[in-house]
Amino acid sequence: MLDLLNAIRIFAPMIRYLACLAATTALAQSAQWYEEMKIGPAWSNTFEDSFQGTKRVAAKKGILLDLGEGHHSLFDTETLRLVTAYNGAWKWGGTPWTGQHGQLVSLSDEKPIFNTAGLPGWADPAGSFEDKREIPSFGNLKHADFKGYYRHGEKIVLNYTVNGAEILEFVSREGSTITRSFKVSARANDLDLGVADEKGSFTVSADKAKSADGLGVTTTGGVKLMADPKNPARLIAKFPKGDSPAVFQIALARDTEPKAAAAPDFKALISGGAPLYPEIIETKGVVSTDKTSPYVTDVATLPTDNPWKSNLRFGGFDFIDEDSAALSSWNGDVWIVRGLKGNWSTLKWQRIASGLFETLGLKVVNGVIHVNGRDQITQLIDLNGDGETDHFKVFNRDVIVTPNFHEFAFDLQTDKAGNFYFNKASPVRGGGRGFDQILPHNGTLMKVSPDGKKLEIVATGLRAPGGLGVGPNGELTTGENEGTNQPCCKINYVPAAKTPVFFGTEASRQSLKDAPYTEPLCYLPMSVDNSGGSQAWVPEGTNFGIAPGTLLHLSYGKSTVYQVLTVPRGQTLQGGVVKLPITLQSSAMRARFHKDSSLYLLGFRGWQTNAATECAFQRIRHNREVVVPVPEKLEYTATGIRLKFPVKLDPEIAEDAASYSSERWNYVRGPQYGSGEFSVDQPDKEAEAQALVKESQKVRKHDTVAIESAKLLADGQTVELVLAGMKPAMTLQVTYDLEDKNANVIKGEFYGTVYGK
Amino acid sequence: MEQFMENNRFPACLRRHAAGYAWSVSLQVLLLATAHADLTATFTRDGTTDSRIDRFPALSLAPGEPATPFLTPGAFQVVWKGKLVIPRRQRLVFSFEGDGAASLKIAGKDVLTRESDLAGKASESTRLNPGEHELELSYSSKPDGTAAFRLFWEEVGFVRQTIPTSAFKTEPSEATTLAALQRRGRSIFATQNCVKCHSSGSGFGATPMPETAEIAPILFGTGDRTHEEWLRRWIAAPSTLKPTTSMPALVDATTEAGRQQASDLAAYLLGMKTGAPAGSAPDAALAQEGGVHFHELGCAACHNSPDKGVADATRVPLNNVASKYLPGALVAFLKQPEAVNPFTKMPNFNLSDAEANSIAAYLTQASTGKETKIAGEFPTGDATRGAKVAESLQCGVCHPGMPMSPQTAPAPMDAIFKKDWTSNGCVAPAEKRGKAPHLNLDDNDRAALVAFAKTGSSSLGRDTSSEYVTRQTEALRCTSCHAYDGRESLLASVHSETAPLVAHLSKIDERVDQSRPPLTFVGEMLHTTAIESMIAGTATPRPRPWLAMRMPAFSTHASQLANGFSRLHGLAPNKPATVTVDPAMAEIGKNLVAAGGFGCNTCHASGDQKATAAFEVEGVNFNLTAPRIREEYFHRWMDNPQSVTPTTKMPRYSQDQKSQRTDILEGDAKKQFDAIWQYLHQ
Repeated sequence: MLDLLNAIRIFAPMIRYLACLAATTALAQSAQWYEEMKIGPAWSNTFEDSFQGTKRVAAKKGILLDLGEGHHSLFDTETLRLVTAYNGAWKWGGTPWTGQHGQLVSLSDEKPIFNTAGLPGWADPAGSFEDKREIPSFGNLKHADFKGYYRHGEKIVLNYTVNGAEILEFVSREGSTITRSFKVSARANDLDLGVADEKGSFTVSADKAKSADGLGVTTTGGVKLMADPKNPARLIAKFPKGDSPAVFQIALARDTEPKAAAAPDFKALISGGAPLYPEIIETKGVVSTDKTSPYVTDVATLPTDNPWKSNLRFGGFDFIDEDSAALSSWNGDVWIVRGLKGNWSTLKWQRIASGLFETLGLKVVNGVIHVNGRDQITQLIDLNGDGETDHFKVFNRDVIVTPNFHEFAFDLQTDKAGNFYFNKASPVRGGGRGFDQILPHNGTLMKVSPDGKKLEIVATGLRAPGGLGVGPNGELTTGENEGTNQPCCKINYVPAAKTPVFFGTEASRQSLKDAPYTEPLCYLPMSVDNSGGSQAWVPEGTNFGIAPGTLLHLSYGKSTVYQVLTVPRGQTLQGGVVKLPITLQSSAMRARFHKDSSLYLLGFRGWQTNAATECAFQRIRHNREVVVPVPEKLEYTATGIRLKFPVKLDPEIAEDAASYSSERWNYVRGPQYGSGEFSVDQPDKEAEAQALVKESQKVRKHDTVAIESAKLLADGQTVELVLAGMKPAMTLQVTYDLEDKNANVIKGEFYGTVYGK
Repeated sequence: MEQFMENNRFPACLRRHAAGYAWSVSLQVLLLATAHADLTATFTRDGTTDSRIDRFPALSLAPGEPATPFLTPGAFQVVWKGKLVIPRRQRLVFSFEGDGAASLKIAGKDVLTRESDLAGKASESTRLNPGEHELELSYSSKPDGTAAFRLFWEEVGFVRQTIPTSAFKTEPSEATTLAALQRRGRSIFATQNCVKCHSSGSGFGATPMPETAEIAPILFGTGDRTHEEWLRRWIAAPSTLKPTTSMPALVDATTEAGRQQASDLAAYLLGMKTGAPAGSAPDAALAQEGGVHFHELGCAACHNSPDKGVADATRVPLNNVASKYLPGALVAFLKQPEAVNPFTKMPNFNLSDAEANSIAAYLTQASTGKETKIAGEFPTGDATRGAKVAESLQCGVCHPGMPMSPQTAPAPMDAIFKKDWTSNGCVAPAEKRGKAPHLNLDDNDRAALVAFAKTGSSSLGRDTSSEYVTRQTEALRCTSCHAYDGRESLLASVHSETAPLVAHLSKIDERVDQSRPPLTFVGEMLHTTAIESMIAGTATPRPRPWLAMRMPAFSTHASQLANGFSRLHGLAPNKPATVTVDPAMAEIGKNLVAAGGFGCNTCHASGDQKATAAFEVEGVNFNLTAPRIREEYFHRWMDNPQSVTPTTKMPRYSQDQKSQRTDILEGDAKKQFDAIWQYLHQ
């Protein structure tokens, strides 16, 4: 038997290679930039904290106030309550900060000075603190509204209304005492405020209270304290009604006697104050001298080296005037760059605002910067002429949000009538598949009235619409990403009059229960777009080498600008894309045309993209003498397609069928993530049925479509291809490899969708 | 039939399929099934020819290795013929690598001819329109028979790289079809253990076909592992219980006498005990957890579900597990399948005790009461009689340590190769088989064996690494889990069979992408040492720790397979070499990898530093680049990841070899990727 075992050993592997991990130098430990970045005195975000030993989502639309000397206080702008005040910092989390998905910024307030339970901060007119929102814990209260805040140097004054009374609140700290100072307008009734929730009961005597756990509270101005009749560990403050504005204070301290601070000068606090970021940073733009390419890229060097270590991943911008633009960053900054009209030898950058909530859209209307974050559209108002924002004024904050990391608010655009539009993503789970709890605004295209008072849904069923576009006649477009119910990226299109529509993600269908699925203008295979950005329309009077009125689509994932070629399809459009010869230094996320006919392009890298740098703000100029070598017009015929090129073509090559190739395929839209690519000509019904029950991305059954003939039409620029069968296909690919009369190669690929009649 | 065609993607990977197809049908099926992206190779050595369908033209032969097993070692020529399929107009430059002499013709025109050092001058740019172009590639080995050859192309749209198999097309000829059948017969001859009974006497020399050295399971200790009742059924009808087995039916279970022999053998085997303590039975409460592992590990790639019997004859059934194993023995088997069967096809998953226990619990629970029934009663067995039966049936020739009777051994190998295998003996039709063992063969297998017999036995003493790995890719079912040449793995289509086992888990579909790496380029992707460590199960850490599945160890085969994968791609076996790093380039590479550059660290970990924001997909740790990846492949991958793995989410950072990043190294993508390469080897 032993011999036998030895024999076995001989057959056993003789060589065991131990993976010798070469002592490659680990990537240099990147500095934790977010720990060094100066965010400012007010930081809007979703925060987690500890409440009586339990972690909770403390505020989905929170503002963390910096009270100095390591003290912080969190205000929840939905419940209008001061959630906590504490001495300490936080554990980092959140995709824009640590890159992680799922983890929230978690306040280290395990030992707070005080905190409050997750109820409305102020009682309703009936005196109730009950959460009566349609979806408890989510959205705005009916009886109280957040209006924004004022900044005065490092000081922040919150502005909101409760039961019709307007309130300014200033939270300050002296030593370990927190003072809440309120200026309240005339009010017909008493106002009840939830002050603190403790484990132990409160002992109350009119304007003073003490909890068994050592929290002391005192008030001024006639504010009466009382324990909640139902809960002796909850302290309530009653503000007396009055015909004229009044100032009240509540001071809180733990394990020491609270002493209210001197009453603040509210008038001064809301009139602007010293700038936080007085330094203007100058950079030199990199201007291309290339005269031979159809498009050249000038790079506006970003002030990445700034005193505040601010990470500038800009995701929204608009021009203020011809010389300046405002840009908003994923980490909540807004900057203005000046000097765009000159030769770019000096670009001047000013940080005008910070601490906003993932601001990925920006629009300037009548000189007022509107910036779209996850929490709201905010108007940035400079009260004292120093350029910096002193008043962060709510324009519209009706959007309901969840704590999910993927719940992005994308883009901000307006139509001719002044309506605003932005996208809300669906709350995709951490791995990218499936969704967290879906609330009414998830996966929508939103419209806000010009006065900011009305928010309405114009499209539902979106998953990750990275940007949108508004056409000259109010046409709405969005990008979309592959995922659940989304077989691939696509360009959604809907004429303004046809809204509301459903764009496909069943989980975020919302109220459009019976609405049919609105097919996109075109589907885009993953090789063309794996993550969409905004769309832009070439304005009238713009000389960009392609016709005014043309739609452009940006691919965030492929850092590419596509020209969209369209043909009518009833009252909507169908068509496809051809790539424009534009090289970008980062992703393609936002685009706007300047009055000088150049296209400004902005992009950053926050999720999957082939972006070559973290962020780039660029000017794309068309060399007017150089033809843009892409088709300018598309037609679908009964037998194939026509593509019109911008120049006369070499007829011999143009009429050689070998100069073209074509394939087509379909996708399966279903509950699975993405889709494979399935034959149109020989449908595999079983495989398509399987694609509904399991992921099928690896299926790639393309039909090769023979080019039966290629004909150059009389204009010398249009080629007519007869395909082996012209039929509906979710993707029809046509490649061309042509030459103009001067033997310049014109080579490219068209990817479009063909619908039936 | 469809399944058969599906399985016959590669002519050298000829699979068995359900019995009943006549030889002509078989040929027809082969002809249909092989009209794929391959080339026809015709080898000539001293006037003898051998044909083969190759995925691509590549050779790497060690000294003494023949060009093919059917040719003697020494100087040879090979001509690859087929079509080069071009989807759209391309302006291509061709080049060679290796030693010897080579000449490439496309559409009848000479494109490139080189001698001696084949690298160096490339062809002129050749403009090819879309369509199929006749390709003829001739290669002559060095005079001593050693050979090294690879064919490359490049275009403005992609870096210099070997031509992928998808660009080739050929039609099988009578010669390649016959050669494929002979290869299949040779493989069956070896794996059916024919040489154990029909001894070669002098052996197969220094470089035998490796499968001839494989042994059957060690039966000592059977009594510690198995139930007697299962042993009886197994001996009575092995291929009924397991259609893919090479265990012959040695008793006639349709007769009382045959069943008595089975019972006697079972009684004898049951007495073979080591005295080792039996392990404890798996805890039945763990069955649900075991079912999760069964699904997550992708067991369906090779197995039918334990409650299903033989639903798919190409996959091993598990319905007899509960009736086979004694309590505890199944756990021991799962933990180390090769312990008593060093050449088992069941790999070692390096299961933890908890995993093995729960899987055993699941298998036991799911297969209880599902065992295969055999007609007829089994009488009580007698161990003493069983020992004699074992000797008379020559059990010991295949199973080490079992009785055998040299005096009554069947005809030696030299003798049987002089006979007509269709007239009598093991391979003959049933009516002519006489008392020969009932091997688990179908008509196609018999046709293949007959075709092989006509080539003589000499090929059993020769082999090539590349043909070995091609055979083993099929035998070990590599493509059951891995995609290959654009074909999805079997598991991709059958994994849903076991999905109900995880239906109770809510977030199982929310993990990052669970795709397993394709095998298509493995030989040119990884250093040989890295392939070996993966196959041997010694790769530490795992390259893809985010996968719920894991690469199991086929340790018995690791070294030979690794060498074979390399040589299949025309590469000599290698290990990582020291890369000379220019610090300035490495610094550029470092910046390109970091957040300020392409941000590779978003998805790729680097040593202990985790990927910063891997979402939907994750990439392999950068520290594993140096010990694993070959430089040429690195550039192919970086140039266009989707051309290698169409569904990869790895972004493409260049177009026409120009980087998106225009401000570094003149925007030259190759130079930028080289900087990253140097940084990763710093």
